[in-house]
Amino acid sequence: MFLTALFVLLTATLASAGFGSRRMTVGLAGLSFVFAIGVYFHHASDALPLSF
Amino acid sequence: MISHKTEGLLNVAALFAISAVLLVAFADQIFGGELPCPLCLLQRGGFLLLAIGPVLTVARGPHPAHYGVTILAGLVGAGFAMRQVLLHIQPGDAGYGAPFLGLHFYTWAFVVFVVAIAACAAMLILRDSTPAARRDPRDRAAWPAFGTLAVGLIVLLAAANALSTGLECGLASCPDDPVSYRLLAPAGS
Repeated sequence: MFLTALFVLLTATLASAGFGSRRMTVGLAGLSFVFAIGVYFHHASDALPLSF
Repeated sequence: MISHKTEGLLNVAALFAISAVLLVAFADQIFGGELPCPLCLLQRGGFLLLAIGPVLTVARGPHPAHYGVTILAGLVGAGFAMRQVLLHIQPGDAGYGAPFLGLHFYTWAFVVFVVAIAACAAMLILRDSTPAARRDPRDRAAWPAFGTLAVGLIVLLAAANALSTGLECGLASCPDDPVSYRLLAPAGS
């Protein structure tokens, strides 16, 4: 669900970057970065199988 | 020194290159039958983040800030890909999915994100820094048609990923190892 929302947001961001206003693009792009990192932390909850 | 005309054309080429990466991933999903895991989907998202800078350049003209956006996207995408590399780095781990040209998709993704960061650094060093007001307007006239096509293609691929991910994950969190499209599965299964 979050990943679907991320792709919808990215679609809007890219459409705005290509055809919309600069102000809206800056807002959507910032939101896309923050949301993508948030989704990453939602899914990256397992410990990595590493030992040093 | 890279002229504005060449800079625009290189950004159009970058958009087609990102589209090609996403099309290869789609081809593997549709024809190879390999459904993307959440980290795989996040890397696709990373490539779409990577496209924001070139789209801005193609639609509004070159600006150093656009490369800053692309460098940030490259760092985010490389982080996503590196996590998946590290998840499968132990000896004996066969990795996720089939290799492509000897490397798994997530390893290729990491390489492409790093190359994108390096390409942005090179562009920032080599580009013509003449302010927008003093540029030759004929420079942009050389690439609007290809540029519009490239922007339209990347927007279409982003929308296709939204549709595909919606079908795969439904209204729940995406499974770590997906085997079917949840929304296409028969009711009650």
